[in-house]
Amino acid sequence: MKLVVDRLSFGYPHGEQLLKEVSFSAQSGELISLLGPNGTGKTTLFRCILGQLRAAGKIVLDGEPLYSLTPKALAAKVAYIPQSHSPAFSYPVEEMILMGAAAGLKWFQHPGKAEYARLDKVVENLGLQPLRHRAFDTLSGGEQQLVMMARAMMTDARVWLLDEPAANLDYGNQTRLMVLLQQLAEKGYLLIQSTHSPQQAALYSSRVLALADGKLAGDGAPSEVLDADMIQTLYGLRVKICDIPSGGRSVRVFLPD
Amino acid sequence: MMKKTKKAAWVLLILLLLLIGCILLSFPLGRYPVSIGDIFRQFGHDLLGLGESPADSIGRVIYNIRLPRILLAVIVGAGLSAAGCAYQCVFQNPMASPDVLGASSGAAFGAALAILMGLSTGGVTLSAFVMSLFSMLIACLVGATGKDRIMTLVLAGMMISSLFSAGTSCLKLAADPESQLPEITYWLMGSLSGADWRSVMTALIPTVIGMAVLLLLRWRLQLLTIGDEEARALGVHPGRTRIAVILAATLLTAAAISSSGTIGWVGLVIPHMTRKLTGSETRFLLPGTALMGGIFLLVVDNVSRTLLPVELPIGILTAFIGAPFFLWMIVKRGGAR
Repeated sequence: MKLVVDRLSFGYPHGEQLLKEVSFSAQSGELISLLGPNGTGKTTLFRCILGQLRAAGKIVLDGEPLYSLTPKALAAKVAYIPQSHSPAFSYPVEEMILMGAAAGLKWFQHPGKAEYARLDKVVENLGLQPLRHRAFDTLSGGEQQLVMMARAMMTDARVWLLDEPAANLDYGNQTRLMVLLQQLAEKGYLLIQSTHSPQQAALYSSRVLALADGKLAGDGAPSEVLDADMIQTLYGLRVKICDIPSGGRSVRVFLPD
Repeated sequence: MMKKTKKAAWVLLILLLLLIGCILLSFPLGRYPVSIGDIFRQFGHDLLGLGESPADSIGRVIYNIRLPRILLAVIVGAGLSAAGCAYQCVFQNPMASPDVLGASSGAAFGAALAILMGLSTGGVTLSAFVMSLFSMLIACLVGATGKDRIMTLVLAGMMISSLFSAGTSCLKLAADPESQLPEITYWLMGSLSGADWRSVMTALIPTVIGMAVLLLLRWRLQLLTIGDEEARALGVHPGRTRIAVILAATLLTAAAISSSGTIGWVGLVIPHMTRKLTGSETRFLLPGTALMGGIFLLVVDNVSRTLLPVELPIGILTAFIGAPFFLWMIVKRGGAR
């Protein structure tokens, strides 16, 4: 699975350019952190890749231009994992996950045996058995995030765009989530998460995309991209950087000056 | 593994049996005495060719008076409730219903207009449908703006309702005070007392169409409740689904209102009551709501025609039940899931 984003530009008519010639390519197995200050176009970039905004430039997935796909076909390739929030009505966890099967069903079809069989697998994969029949809105933030991921797994998409997946989680759940994302990447998913934490990006992701003012300011391994100058560019903040050896590798730590 | 599905299927089956039971028990109610035994004898004879049929007069009461009225109550109750359930999902708003959104007032105005112009029953339904759709259009446009979307929609619905009520009042001024005015006024109160086979057929055909569309789309409907952006990312066309659902729900509203006047609140109360039984999954909620609505309106109609020597228009009774319920919902909003 290879995703190529080629000179992607987007701006609303009569508005400012939000994305300026963003280019990168990524493939399965990567866990990419998309960093950038608020309002810099992270969400816009996601929405372009999801086909919800039509940008100038090209997005190609495995040789196929994304914009030539129908919404159904696109949904089976690229999944979006929003920050967890409860819908207007309360559904059981199982039902939330089943909604991920929508792309594979015709207008008048309901989830049947095949979908339930897939649901069983997904639930087992993510260890959601104990939550299966609980109401979604009674779950903790971390549990809700897991359910959202289960729903993405249900779509069969191998490219996941995650909107600040760890934002509302406590420290323990953040860590567990990031480890889970690493495991999923190893299994062949391509994961792109937007995040506000360079520390988290440095600890867990295999690669960092730094977006500043709609332009790609950096692209590469966290230890290459995330230096003091980059943090200054992105967040207007001076930091000291320490590389601490830990278990055979070095871990980068950011200390505000 | 499909534990929940089984439980919901049982709930639906029980509701269906309850509806059939209520229908049977409704036949004997009324001024002319008809016993349950008479009903079984009559239907046994006519449908299965068993035994002898009871007296002709009993047959006439059963077929020409009781049966159409019972059917109309069930059709209108099921239609309004299913429409309310559909609107709640489409607008992701637990307070939506045909009356709250102004769809009912729109339909009432359209129907009154058609009565004034002397159109046929089909024309009345069509006119109700068009006006109701127009009110929904306004609700959609206005309801999407503002910070508190739930309340904005409710307020917009109030304004639309009041606008169409004013329009209906204008029509009343123009109506012939001898014949048309009483007809319009009484019909506006909401009543099933005019039920005959013609009104049953008028309501039945559009209700069957609208209900069929909603039942077929009932799982898609659920995807509208998680928000457009997410639905789109799951490969669903929220726009198309929404239009299909609104058309179907509005057709149900128009059918109910043009056949029996403005019977309010059913579409708000019943989906919430049903949600307690089946859960929010639209696959079960929608059919459950339709069955429950049929049962509810039939029971309320039975009360309205037997409680007092004079028949109470059913719209008054449903308002006595629905309006307090709505107030309770406003008070307890966050929890109204």
